[in-house]
Amino acid sequence: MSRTLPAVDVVVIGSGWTGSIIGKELAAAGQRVVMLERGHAKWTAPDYASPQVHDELKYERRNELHQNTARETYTFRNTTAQTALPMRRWGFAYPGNHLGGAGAHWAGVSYRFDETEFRLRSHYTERYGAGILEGLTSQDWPVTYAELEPLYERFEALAGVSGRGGNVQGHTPPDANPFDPPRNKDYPNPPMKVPFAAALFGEAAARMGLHPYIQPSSLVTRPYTNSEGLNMSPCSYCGFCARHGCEHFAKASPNICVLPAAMKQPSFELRTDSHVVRIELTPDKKRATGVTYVDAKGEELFQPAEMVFSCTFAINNARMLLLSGIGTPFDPTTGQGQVGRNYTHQTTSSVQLFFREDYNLNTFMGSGASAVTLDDYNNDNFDHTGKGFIGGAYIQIQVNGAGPINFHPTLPETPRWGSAFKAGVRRYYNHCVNITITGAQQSHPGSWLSLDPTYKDAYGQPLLRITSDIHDSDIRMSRFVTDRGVEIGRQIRGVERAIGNPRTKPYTSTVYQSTHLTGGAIMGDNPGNSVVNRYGQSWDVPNVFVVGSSMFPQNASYNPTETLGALSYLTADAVKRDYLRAPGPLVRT
Amino acid sequence: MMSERYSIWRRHLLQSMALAVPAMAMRPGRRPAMAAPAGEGWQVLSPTEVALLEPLVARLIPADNLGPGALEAGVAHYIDRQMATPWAEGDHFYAEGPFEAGLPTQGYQFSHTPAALFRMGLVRLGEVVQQQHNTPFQNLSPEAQDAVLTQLEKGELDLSPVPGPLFFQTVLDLTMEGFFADPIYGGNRDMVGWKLVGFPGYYSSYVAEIERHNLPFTRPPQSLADLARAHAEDAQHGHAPSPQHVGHEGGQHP
Repeated sequence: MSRTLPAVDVVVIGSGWTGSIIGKELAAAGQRVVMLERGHAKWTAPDYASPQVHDELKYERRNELHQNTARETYTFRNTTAQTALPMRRWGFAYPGNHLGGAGAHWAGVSYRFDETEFRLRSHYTERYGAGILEGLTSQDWPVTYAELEPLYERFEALAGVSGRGGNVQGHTPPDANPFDPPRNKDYPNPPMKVPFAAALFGEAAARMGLHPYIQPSSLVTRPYTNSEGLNMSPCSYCGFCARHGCEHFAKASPNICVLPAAMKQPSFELRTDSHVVRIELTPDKKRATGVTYVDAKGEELFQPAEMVFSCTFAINNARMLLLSGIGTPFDPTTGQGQVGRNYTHQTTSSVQLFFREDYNLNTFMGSGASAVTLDDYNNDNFDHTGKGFIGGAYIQIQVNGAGPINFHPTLPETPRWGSAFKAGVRRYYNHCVNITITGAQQSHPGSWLSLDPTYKDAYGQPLLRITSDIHDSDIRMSRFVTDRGVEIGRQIRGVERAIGNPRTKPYTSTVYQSTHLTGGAIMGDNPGNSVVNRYGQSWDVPNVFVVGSSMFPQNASYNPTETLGALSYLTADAVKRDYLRAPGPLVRT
Repeated sequence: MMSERYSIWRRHLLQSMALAVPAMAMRPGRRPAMAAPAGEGWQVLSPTEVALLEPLVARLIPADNLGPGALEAGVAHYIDRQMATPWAEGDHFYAEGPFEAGLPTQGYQFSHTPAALFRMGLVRLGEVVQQQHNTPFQNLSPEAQDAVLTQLEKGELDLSPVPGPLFFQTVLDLTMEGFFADPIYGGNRDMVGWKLVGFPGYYSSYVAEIERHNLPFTRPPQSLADLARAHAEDAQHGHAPSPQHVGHEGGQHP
């Protein structure tokens, strides 16, 4: 029997980017907001203090900041014919936990999605004919790039994004990305410094007539006061970035960019160590009454609220809906139901480069987003005729701090142990780097989410079950773009060997492929093709909003954070402008 | 408490070894042994375990003309200390059943915590080597030890109920961790792992160096303990923490 707490206007589940932005915006609009974070209250000071935060073992091997698989994980299978089994320890991704969520331990890579991404199905059908999408359920977004443009700008001002716009009111500087979508303003901060390996990549690519540019990043490059009046300090390229918290106040996070502003609002309250088990509904399932959560003592509490925002880590949003009985679960045999449909991950691959010994790459210096990138083989920036796939990938050398526990490269033929290994790693540790290739992943009926019938979490609730394999379209894409990466690698000065590793089937839970898990509660223009509308509002329960990468109908090549930040502002604005005046569906069909 | 945990583990281990039950039927306790440790400086590993582990890691990363190996780096001590952590007891390990073999894409599906897997594997390796060679692993020649490890890596040694290659990978992973992790964890003594490859440890800023392309980086490495000591000394003298820049060696393009 849970104890009922005093009612509030808004409950936000999760303290990552989406929850923090929405929570702060609504509290500033006078709403009484309670934010429930399942993890601990970890703040930059003292929790990410130097030097202790520079610990590869603790953060990169022992998952200090990640969702704890002992308490909650996913089950996985490739096809419905298999029995899903739990991911007993992490491999494929690092779902976030603790204050700031994945936004506290991300890498800071900050892209806007391409204009074509928002009308993916229409665009490729118009240019190549519907056949190119055969077998895919990727679809158009219910929002355009032009609508999100000013909201991207707001997120960039919040996070202090560093970069050089390639299409600022039609102007393209020679070192910027000519494939950039149009922007009204340039980035708030100049681009990051360029590590040696990334510079060598840029040099070779430019020589080949490609279009390298410095990757935009939420690691600020000069002292910066953000749009909330909060201060950030320049990145120091310390090499302990992704999977770590940032002690320098340089890597944007909810913890330093939003939550302090939210907590200044008298109507905002943060409760950590508060694990929401479900959204409660009225008996007719038409309205949410609040959420039930378990606090650090293990007491079950009911927090009544007028509105509930599910802003959990990515695909956990789909689980929250399924556990709460909101919407109709997707059934792959009939194609009916929407919740859980269009799960996607990221089609990543690499080209391993071995250099001459007189090239000191010094990849232990760097940051999560220090990279030179090119988009010549991304999106529809190249002709897809006859290629058998849609979309593409960005190709880059990113130098994000090569800790030797995880990075001790040798040539593929070198034994993994013994004196030969030792000589090999001594030879190549500072003379080896990967070209990383980060690609889109298309939705298809064989890739979906549901509740697991067998395995439970620490609270006795069913785990989320992932059924997925990569569609052949993406396998072909990966082969094509990885081949281009090998061509570039061979042109880089100092490279002795370039070895391409395209993505192959089957999709596996054991190999890291990015933490960009998307879909399962996708957005669309009507209840027949989606779980939520363009504002993340549930079609079934209109006082429930489900915001995050769970809304993406398929995954773009680019990293998701800027887009889910822009979508958070889209939701917050619509709620403030329309919903508070007249609670109810914001989109009529 | 230590002896209770030890006896729970020991009882389980003897039982499972004697009956040779299949891996997935087993459900080891979450707390592995706090065995009577091998002596001064050892936390949980027993003399028998240490006697096998030390020569084993010494073959994985040997001392040679390139410098000290895993044994000299204290990797066995690192592993000993890791076995005493909550991680080894499974605090980040989903341990709910049922346990099924699963497919390669489904990853690790055994019930054993990291400590249970490691210690059971070690016991079984000792037994199998004794059976096959009529002498313990540590008495074999380095070449014969390498041959055993090659068999283990390839799945040619039956360590049932522990899969041999999985045990080999576990020891290899722990050895790499112990050789390359910060010395505060008990391995990488004198930062020999870092010195081998040229990893400088932890400097809090490379802002002045990141664009000094091809810089030959010759500064000595710094560990967490070094930095913590520097912070403490600064605080003692009323200074702001020292910036940990790396100086101004010139870089040049080859």
